[in-house]
Amino acid sequence: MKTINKVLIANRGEIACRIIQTCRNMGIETVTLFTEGEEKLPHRYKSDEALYLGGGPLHDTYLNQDKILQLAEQVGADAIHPGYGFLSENSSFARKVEKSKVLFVGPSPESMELMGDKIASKIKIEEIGAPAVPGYHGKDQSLKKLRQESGKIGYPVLIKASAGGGGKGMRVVNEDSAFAEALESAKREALNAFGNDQVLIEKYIQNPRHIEVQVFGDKLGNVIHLFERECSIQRRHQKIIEECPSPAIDSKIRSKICQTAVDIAKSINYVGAGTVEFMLEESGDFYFLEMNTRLQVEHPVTEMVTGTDLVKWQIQIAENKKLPLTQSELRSRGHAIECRLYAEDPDHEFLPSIGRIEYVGTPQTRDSRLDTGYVDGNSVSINFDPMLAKLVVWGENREEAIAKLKESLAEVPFFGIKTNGNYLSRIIKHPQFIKGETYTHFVETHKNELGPLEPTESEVAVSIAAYLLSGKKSFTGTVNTSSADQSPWDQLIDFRNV
Amino acid sequence: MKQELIINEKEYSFDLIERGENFVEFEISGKKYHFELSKKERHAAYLTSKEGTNRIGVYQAQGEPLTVLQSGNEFKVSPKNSRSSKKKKKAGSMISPMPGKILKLMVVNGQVVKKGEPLLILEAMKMEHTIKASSDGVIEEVFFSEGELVQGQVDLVRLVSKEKK
Repeated sequence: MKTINKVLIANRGEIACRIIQTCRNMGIETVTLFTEGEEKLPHRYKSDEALYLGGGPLHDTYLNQDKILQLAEQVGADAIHPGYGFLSENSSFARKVEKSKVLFVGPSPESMELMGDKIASKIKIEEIGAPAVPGYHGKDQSLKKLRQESGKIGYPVLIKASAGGGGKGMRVVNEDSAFAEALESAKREALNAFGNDQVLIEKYIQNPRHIEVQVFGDKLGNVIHLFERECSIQRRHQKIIEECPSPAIDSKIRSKICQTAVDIAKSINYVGAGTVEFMLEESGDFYFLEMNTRLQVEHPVTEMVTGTDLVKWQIQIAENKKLPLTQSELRSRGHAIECRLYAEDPDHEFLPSIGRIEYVGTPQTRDSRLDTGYVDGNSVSINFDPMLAKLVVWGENREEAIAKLKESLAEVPFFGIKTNGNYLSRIIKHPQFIKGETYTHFVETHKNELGPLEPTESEVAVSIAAYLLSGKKSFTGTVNTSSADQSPWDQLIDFRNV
Repeated sequence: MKQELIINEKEYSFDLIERGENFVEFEISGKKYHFELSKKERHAAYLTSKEGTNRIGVYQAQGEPLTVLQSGNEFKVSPKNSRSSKKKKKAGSMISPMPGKILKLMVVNGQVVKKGEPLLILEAMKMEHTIKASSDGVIEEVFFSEGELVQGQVDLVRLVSKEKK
């Protein structure tokens, strides 16, 4: 049994900071990586040691497998934690690490390959007898064949990149006449994002919910689940609000869906943290979507209700240890909600924004947690994902969690750049959200109600009062406007295409 | 003294009665308001009226409207006729919303287009954004070619709308 004393974190931003935190709690040394322009970001200075990767495209930096492994060996790291994204689900990297003396914190390359291939994974699921969405996963990628299969499945259909994720290379097609254009666009986006334009076609399910189950396996063959998460609130096919437990399922569906997830993980001898994603229909029927062979962005909601530290579990399992808890020892308590703060403009098609963050803020509300990779004065560039932070709250019940989230959101304004904070708070105040009527097309369905609201009489009065007082010394004394000389567009000097 | 402010692109007028270092009194359509600045923190303030205290977030960058955050809702406040309260949008031009790369051009110079017709696809942050025609008209000039990198807020094509011709 190998003990991990030093971990190289092959990631950046909030997840790198999140992993550092657990390592510190476990007395493990951390090594992080940073690139040109990231010198002032917390993931660079919060670790014990940070290594410079230089500039240039991602495959020279965070995706540079050989360099990252070589650096890990050089600094004497016992393990590499890949976080999520980047190399976390890259089987060739996992294989390289496996062959070295360094441990990989994650599942086997075989699990990644099987589940990373949407077609192979669907075949495997059907073998086990777990429910899968009707669709076409064949090799014939001609327009004629794909269109014909879509007709057979019945419109609306969903075109998905086989190698995809995060909504890239994904299109909903409502009718035959729109198929060709959507296919071309999906293929192009897939090729750009994943270097592979193979697609699959699936039935597009009306009023679906996104329910996923957190699973964990150890190297001794134990597999357990840590309940479900509902992540139905999505924009551009990307999750923005996640909660646990799901307001939509009763204990009967819960035990069935969680057991299905465990069966799937067991059938592939899964080791480490994984998430089995399902689509839940109003009838209570659910279909397997995919399995993510890594720690998810939204793992904190599970941690909040189960009182666990999933990064700690990952490290212990990489050390060949047994799962810290058995299924019957695990309990879910209360309700947790996470929302993802993005640098984007929800009122203008969610276009990403960039610029300098003047003030992040700190949530003061009890039982709230802010996972972020930014501090005051940092800049958001166009080189990476525009997620700023994850704000997570816990309450005795869903109502309390929503109330706390409302409070906490106001406490982390991320002043200086355009964010979706305001939009998130409109969602959680929406009567349908409060009722738990959450479907994956929620933001589309309620588009008009989620737009900017007319200010109320009292809001107008407070705004006017703030404006009138803002000129006074008592008010402006601490306001920081040092960014005035640095426009967001100055970033363009560092522009590069990644 | 009658004053006008723009809040979230809409005009509001009020009468300023009195303003001190830590309080302000004004009237909106006959209703009187008195607010006291109870406490000021970095980017936050407590404004107390007879109805209670509002904790608000405040932020202002030079030349930009004052941002006031009230329980999660954002309000942009600026004086009427100030530079920052004016809309920057130019009619008849299609502007890149952010820096990116021209992935695909669907139109050529001289082409007649309908409102909402896709003109080009811009890739930014690894996502595709379709730039659509803002009105019916003729494409007079496309300023970029496929594969070219563009900055944010620049004109991409010049569209001469039908009404003008």
